Amino acid sequence: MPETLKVGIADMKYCEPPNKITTIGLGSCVGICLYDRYIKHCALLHIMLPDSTRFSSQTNRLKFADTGIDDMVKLMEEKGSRVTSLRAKIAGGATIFNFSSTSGSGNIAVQNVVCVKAKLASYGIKIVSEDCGKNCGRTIIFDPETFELTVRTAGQQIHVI
Amino acid sequence: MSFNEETLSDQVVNALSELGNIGAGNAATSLASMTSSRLTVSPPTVELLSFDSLAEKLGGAETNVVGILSAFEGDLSAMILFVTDLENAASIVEAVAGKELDWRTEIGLSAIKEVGNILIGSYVASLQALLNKKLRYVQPEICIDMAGAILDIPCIEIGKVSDHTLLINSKFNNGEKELEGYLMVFSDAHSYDRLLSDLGVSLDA
Repeated sequence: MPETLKVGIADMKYCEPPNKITTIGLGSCVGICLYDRYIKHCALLHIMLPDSTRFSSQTNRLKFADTGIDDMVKLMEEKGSRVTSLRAKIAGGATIFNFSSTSGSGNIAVQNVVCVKAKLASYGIKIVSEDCGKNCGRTIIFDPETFELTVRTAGQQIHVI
Repeated sequence: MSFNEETLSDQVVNALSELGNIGAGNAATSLASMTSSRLTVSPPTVELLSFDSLAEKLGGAETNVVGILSAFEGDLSAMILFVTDLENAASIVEAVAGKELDWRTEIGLSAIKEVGNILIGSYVASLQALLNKKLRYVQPEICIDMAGAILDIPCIEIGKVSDHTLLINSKFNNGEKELEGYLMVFSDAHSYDRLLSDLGVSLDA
């Protein structure tokens, strides 16, 4: 029986067909699917924060875009992929609350997306498609067989990128 | 205070519950005057939870919920989120309005936001009075979306320092049935530390 693996917050998992992989309720967090254009396998990462260097306590590397993507690329290499054949699809980074407090996490969503893109670019990994920004929560499901990323929003609209 | 521990000492739970009780008492008084006593608040329960289990409490990360988010700053800083499912939101709005009212309308949303505002304001006021500290809090924002998405912003705020948050489970009664809503307090370990020491609770006990 094919199953759908569930990735939590600040979490990452590896997946091969016929299984699919999902992460649920992305708000300002970003979901990053890394797959290989030649080998049918993938990893999905759910990050919360952009840059680990700005925080002193880093108990979980998967919380951050920079360290999380480092770990994900390493995992894909261990599973037999070459960095040059890796491709990415990303979704999330929504602004859920129009919240402007002086503690200032208001544009964390934007920072998350910027940081994810910069980190992927530093590896030369191309972003094939994305669904980022706006103000709606998203659930994403990736199929390593077809490389399709299905995005579902709270309004129940479903689209494939 | 170590926040990677799954459990809190009884003494700490008692202190935080007491804080919750006083806040709920204040909230009940405010809500009663607003609703002509249609809505009462029961003493809340307090738990310390990881982010993933927070979403589970709300029926899973994909469940659509109503969230009202505010923050306070000053001697202590925290984000406060009041969250309830759509069914409970509808009942709360009807209790406040005193009649059948679609909560998805502008008036309905405004009513539920006001309930959230009062609850949040009451907790902040209890904290101020108890600790004799000045705290400012910002106008709450309301949002209806997936639980996971709504939890993101406060989880991110606290996620910089910790993987756990304090959950205060508030129960309301509209005379006919129990309505449930969660008041979640997201703060850093440093603020909790100060809060508890101000309450006279030793963390090493």
